[in-house]
Amino acid sequence: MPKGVRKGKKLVPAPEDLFSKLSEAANIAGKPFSSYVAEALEQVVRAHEMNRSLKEIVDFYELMMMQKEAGLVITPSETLNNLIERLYPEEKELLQTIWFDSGKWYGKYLLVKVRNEDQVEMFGEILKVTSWNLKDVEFKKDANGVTFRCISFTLSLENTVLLMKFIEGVMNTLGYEMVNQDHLRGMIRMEFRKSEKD
Amino acid sequence: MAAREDLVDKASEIARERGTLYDYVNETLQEAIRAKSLGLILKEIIDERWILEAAKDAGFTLVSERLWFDIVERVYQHWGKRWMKELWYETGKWYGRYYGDLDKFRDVMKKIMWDLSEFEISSENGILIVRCISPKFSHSYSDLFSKFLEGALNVFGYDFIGGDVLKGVINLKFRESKGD
Repeated sequence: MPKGVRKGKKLVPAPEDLFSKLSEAANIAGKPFSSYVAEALEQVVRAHEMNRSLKEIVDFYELMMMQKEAGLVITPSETLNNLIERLYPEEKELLQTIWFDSGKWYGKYLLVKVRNEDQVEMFGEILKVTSWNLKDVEFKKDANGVTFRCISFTLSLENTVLLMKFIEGVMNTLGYEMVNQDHLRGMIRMEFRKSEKD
Repeated sequence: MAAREDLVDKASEIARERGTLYDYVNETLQEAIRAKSLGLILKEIIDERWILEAAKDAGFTLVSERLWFDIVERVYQHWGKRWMKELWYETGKWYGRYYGDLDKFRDVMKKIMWDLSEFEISSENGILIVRCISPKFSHSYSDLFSKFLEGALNVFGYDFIGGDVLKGVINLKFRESKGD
């Protein structure tokens, strides 16, 4: 056992800068440094048991908090779908406008909130992580603009169209106009080009 | 840096699958500091993740609050409150059955209903009291949410005996069903 290391403990290699930051955090939390480190390591094991890395878990939490801050709420999807199904046949255009406007508002939120990163990439990440009913979300950027694709096995046709309106609203605010789109129930492909006015 | 032997051994084992122990410890400490900057400790963040993951599995979804309340109000005006109340009541019953336990239901609601500033279930002289406050709820939404709670509480064996529902304030009283 290395000199100075008590029984039941082992030395772990750690970068010096993190050591001092962690020591500061432990001080603020009013905990001994060793128990602060032990707690962090315990969570590593726990995260591993959940088949996730700590980074993934903290990223997810950060994005969820962003959604909360952006005024999103958690609600039973069955109830929401029920309301949309009722209203859609008679108020299709109104609902599409509401979703589009909501997207525009969300785009503004991203412009204000995400200043040091690419807002389109961040939006893609948010959709991937926090849109629980979507699979295979992809925002592909190329010289001509952005192509969005997603698949969902649970989205109704009405919800597919409304999601498209929401995405169009967000992208409009981020400076892109939709130039092409194709959709089926639960399947979306949208092409965007940078707006000329930008 | 010295740390508990059993934890270091477990972390080393995990690290072996992913790279070096140094990189792994580095990543862990960075995330611990990041969690601190979010005002939490790692344990709380992982707990939260678990709850949100469970909410996803239970059929909850994220929706813009303004959009949600707007749609609810429109359908409420258009289709009448009877149909809506029935829908919320049935949804409450579904979640009551899903969670199967009053304490679990209360804990989940507290965590995932971001729009509630207060949510308490207490017992006084054999009467169960459910109180919740949300400054964002309209009168009609408060009415609907109270039906959701009533549906869930019925499943847990409680009958609604009275209470008040005002805009953003719900105060409901229940008594244990005689049949149970």
